[in-house]
This record gives sequence, C-alpha cells and structure tokens, in this order.
Amino acid sequence: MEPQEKVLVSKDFLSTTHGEIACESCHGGKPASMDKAAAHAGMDPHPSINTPGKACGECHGEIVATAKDSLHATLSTFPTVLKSRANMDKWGHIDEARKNHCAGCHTSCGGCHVSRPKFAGKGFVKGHIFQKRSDPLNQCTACHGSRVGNEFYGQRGQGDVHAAKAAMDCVPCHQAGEMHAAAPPHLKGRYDLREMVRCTDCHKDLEYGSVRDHAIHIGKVQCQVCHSQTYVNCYSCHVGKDSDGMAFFQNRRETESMKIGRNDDETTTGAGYRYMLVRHVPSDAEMFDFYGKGGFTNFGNTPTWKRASPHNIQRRTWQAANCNNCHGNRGLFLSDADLLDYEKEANRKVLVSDEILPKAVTKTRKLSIDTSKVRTGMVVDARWLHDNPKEKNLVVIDARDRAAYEKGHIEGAIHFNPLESDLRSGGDAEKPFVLAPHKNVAEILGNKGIAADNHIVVYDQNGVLAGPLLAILEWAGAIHVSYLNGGIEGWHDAGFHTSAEPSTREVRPFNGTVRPEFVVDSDTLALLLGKRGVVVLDTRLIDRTLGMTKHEKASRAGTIPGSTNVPLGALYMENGFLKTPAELLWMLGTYGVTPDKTVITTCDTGVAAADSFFILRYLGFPDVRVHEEAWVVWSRTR
Amino acid sequence: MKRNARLHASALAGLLAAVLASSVLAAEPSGCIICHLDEAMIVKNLSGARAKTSAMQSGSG
Repeated sequence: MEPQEKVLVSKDFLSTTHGEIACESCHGGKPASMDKAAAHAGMDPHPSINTPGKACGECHGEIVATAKDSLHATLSTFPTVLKSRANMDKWGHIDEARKNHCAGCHTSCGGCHVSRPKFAGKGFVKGHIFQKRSDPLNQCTACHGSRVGNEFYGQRGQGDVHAAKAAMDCVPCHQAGEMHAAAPPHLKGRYDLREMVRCTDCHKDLEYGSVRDHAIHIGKVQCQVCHSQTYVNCYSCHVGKDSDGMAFFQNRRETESMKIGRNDDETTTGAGYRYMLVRHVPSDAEMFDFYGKGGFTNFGNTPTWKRASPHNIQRRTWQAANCNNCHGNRGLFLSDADLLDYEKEANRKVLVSDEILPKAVTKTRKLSIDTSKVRTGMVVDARWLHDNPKEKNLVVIDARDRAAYEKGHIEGAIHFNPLESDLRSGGDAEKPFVLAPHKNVAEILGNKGIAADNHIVVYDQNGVLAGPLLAILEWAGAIHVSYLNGGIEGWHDAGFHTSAEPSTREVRPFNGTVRPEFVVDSDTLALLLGKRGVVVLDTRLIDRTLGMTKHEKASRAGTIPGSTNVPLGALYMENGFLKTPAELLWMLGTYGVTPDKTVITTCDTGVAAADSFFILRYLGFPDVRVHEEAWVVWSRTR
Repeated sequence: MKRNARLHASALAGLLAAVLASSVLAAEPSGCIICHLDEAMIVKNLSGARAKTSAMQSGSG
C-alpha cells in the first residue's frame, strides 16, 4: 500500500453516517489551517485507542464500555504471563520492554472497523469507510498472519476446511460478543475468556454421534489434536533498539511441526481434556536483556510450549488416519528431547513421558498406501550431497535470489533463479508467464553450463523456486534432476558449511529433447475439463480460489470450473522439507488426486503449478501436466 | 420552582445551540477533507516520510 493510499479518504465516505461527523470531532487538530503541520497540531490519528469513550463511545457506548477492556485493546494477559516469570524487582525494565515491543500489537475499534491495525502498517482499508464486519485479509490476518492467516488460507499446509469448504472468514467464529468482551482482571490466558469461541459451540454433542473416534476421544483430547495439521513454532525472540532508537524484535528460528502435550490446566472452561496441541512461543529468559539483565529469574514458572489452536482444521488428518499414526508415536508427543536447556523446568507439566505415552494399538487396520512408484532419486538429502560432491556429472544449482547466494551457498553451486531469467515470458507480454521456445530455454541452460545428461540438484529456501526450475529442466529434456530436501536450511541443520565464493561452469550445449506432453495450454485444458480420470489441481491459496483476491495480471478473480484446490503449501513444510511420500500420497488421495488419474496442475502464473508438477512426478504419478498459461491467461480469455 | 424553570430553559437553550452547531458542522465538510480527498496533495505532503520499521526486525510477530 502506497503511503498516500493509507490516508486517502474516499468520496463515498462522506455520504456514510460517520462521514456526517466532522473529522475534528474524533481526531482533533486544526481543520481551518491549510498548512500540514498546523492542521495536524494536536491531532490524534488513533482516537479509538487513545480516547475510545469520546470518539466511539458517544454513539456506541454499550460496546465501548466493554471493548476498551477487551484483549485486543489491552493485551492484558501479556503482563500476567511476564509477571509469572519475572523478578519483580526488575519489573520496571520488563514493563518498559513490554510497552515498546509487545504493546504495539494492540488494537481498538479503528483497527478492526476502519484501518489496518497499527502493527500491520496502518492505512484505511476502504477510504475511511467504517465496516461493521472486519476485513479478514486487511485487518484480522494482517496482524494474526504468520500463524493464523498463513495456516487458514493455505500458505502453510492445506489451509482450513472452514475456509476451503464453507468460505468462512474469521467472523462466523469470532463474533462481536467475543471480540468486544471485557477481559476480567488477572485473566490467566486468552482461552480463559468466558466469551471465547469453542469448537463445540457449533459441533455439539459429538460424543453421541456416529463417529466412533469421537465417542472414544472426546473428553480426553482437544479437538485440534486430531483435526489440525502441522504448524509453525517460533524460537528465541530478542528485542532491542537500533541506532535510530527504533524498537525491533528478532525471532531467530521458525520450525514447522506438531507436538501433543499434557494439559497443564484442566480448569479452563471447555478444556477438561488430558492432551492438547502445544506450540513453542519465542519466550527466552534473556529476551528483554537489552533493558536490564536478570529480569526472568522465575522463567520456569510458565511453559514455553503453550496450548495451541492452529487454524488449519481438516476433517481428515495424517495423525488420525490410523490409530498408530498417533498412539505410540513418540515423535508426535512433547518429550524432554524437544526442550532447550533453559526451558526444561518451565515445561515439566506439559511433557508426555514414556510412562504415560499412549501405547500403540494392536488391533487396527493398516493404511494401504502404495509408495513403490515413488521416484526416490528425484529427492536427495544434505548428507548425500555432502558425501557425493565428485559424483560424475553433478551440477548443483542455488535457485534463491542473488543476494542470498552471495551471502553463502553450497560450495560449487552455481546461481540460477528461474524467475530472474528469460525462461518464461514477462508479466507484460501478450501471454504473460509462459515458457520460452525450447530452443531459447536450451540455450539459456547451456550458457549456464548445464547439459541434459547432468545429474542436476537444485535447492533454495523453501522449494518455491527450486520446484519450478526442476519442472522446466524436465520439460527441456534433463534426464536426472533432484531436489535437495530441506534446501539451504536442511544443509545448515546438517551442520555443513557454505561458501561465499561464486561458481560458474563452462558453456556447453544442453542437448535435451523437449517433453511437450508435460505442458497443456488453456484450449487443451478446456477440452479435458470434466473428463473422467482427469483432475485439474489448483495450487493457489484458498483466498484466491474463493475470489477474495486476484493476481495483479489476472483480469478477474475466480477459479477454473471443476478444479480441485490443494494449496502448494500442503506439499512443503515451512523450511522446504517434504513430508514423507506416504503422507503426501494419503493427503492427495483425500482430494481424489491419485496416481491413476491424469493430473493437470494450475495456479496464477505457472510457478506453483510447475512446483507441484515436480512433487507429483517425484511421487510417481505417471501422467502429470502443467497448465502453463494458468489463471492469468485463462481469466483474460474465458 | 422558578429556579428550576430557569435551569430547564438554559439547558434547552444549550442543547439547541449544540444541535445547531453540530448541524453546521455536518453541513460543511471539515477542512481536513479538502486535503485527504486530494491524492496529489497527500503525495506532496508525504514526500520524505521515513520507514517506521527498524531494518533490524526479523521473523514473524
């Protein structure tokens, strides 16, 4: 959003009820002056935060009376948790840090009904027109993005069934009664808020229904234990101020996983179960050291693995696909090995020890997943690459942006970002983002020193650039291509070094034979739509397929009729690792995407489609094709 | 009784003045609107505005 757009008022606002109120009634300032500084003297850009009673309460008194004390407005549970860990002699330092780094996340009436919240960069959502219903993208997930938004709309994982199947946004669950509710003093945590939404508000009396597993598990496990996907965990937040005095925070590591912990407080309303999902929060005993050391001498009082309610609900999940995907699965339950040294005491109550780990079930039907067709050579791990640097014909490609490559790459890797090359047409071309003629692609590859008979290993940060390059290489005729599982993070995790010394290869002829069967245009796709045995796999985010957003080059929002949406994020983990072939095949099967079908992958520009093409090829799908024109061209022509 | 009547009268007069004043305010768009409807003027006034996030910030909030 451009800076001027943030404060540009829509003419339509003037004809709304709020548009009839003089600006200065809420914001103050000196409207008679035409000089910017003089006009803004004494002006309050955030009246609903600073003077909610006056700005909003005159008309909406009943709502403001409670909303001014709501969790969104006060973040009152932050000091509660901080105090539980604090050396109260140092509370002054801690509270200063809290105000500088944590309190900025709070919001009030305006942040949910007029503007993007302060933390999310501010700016009017709709030219200062007040919206009764909060905007899920510009408001709710503008703040709750890295966890909730990414999980809900499929940036990470499959997305949430409530969005994908029922087109629900945040409000149907998180209604005004909850959002405007006053948080009682000393509220332990947000789950303790009486008005907090719970799954059982809609999904009632499941224990008496026809699903056997509900009857067995309700009362023992939190709903999300069976119905969530993996989610992100953050580590080691540290705060400080830069040389300009600007406050900053640094979350130093994010990992995607799932951990089941013991419920350490069954007294919370609706939480009388034994097991719950836990997420690592980035608390660290030294995180506020910038303001004064020794603030958290009681760090062990409160867990750093906290109850989680990931917003990525699915009816069917991998951990619930079979009893023993969960029972007896030590890695799924929080153990001592998951804890860092400084947090062992804090998490004692949420650990699941070997003694109480649910035992494997002896009588259960095994899952039947055929992994025999998986092309295992299309994925290599860091250890293999490290131990085989001299493999004949090996070419290693770093597909990240140049700055990342120059900072440090796997020694010997050449740099080749497919989106910064001429492998495809540009965004302003008559047909944007389609493959260049094979002759041109072969020449580009040859100039990079790549030949079709090389063993080409590609890596990046998260698979999003490596996957499309691997797909283009296969289309161009490369016969042995591999993805480095986990990319550069996997390499670092394995303890291997990187180099800043750039590498190049001698120019050579690529000599590949094009595989035209790997690509379809929109005409061919239209003929195949609805045919038996054909699946059109749309790998875009859920908000795209719901028509909430569109690519800037597309003529309209929408989706190809009859396509099946599985966001690309369902195929990769956060750090570019792939889930196991069995899990991927099972998950795709729940959408009807099975190897016996012709699968045509599509997206907005062909990038995610090419990426998922590569993964399906790896999984052994015999007939996969990329709809290279994708939605951008489709939307302009159909 | 008379005192109460006087009080009521002055309260009514005050209320009337407030209603009239707010009607005037409602009828005349605030001076703020003149600028905030003019994109070119805002662009001019915002030139030189600096970023509000520290370059040292990293990771998700």
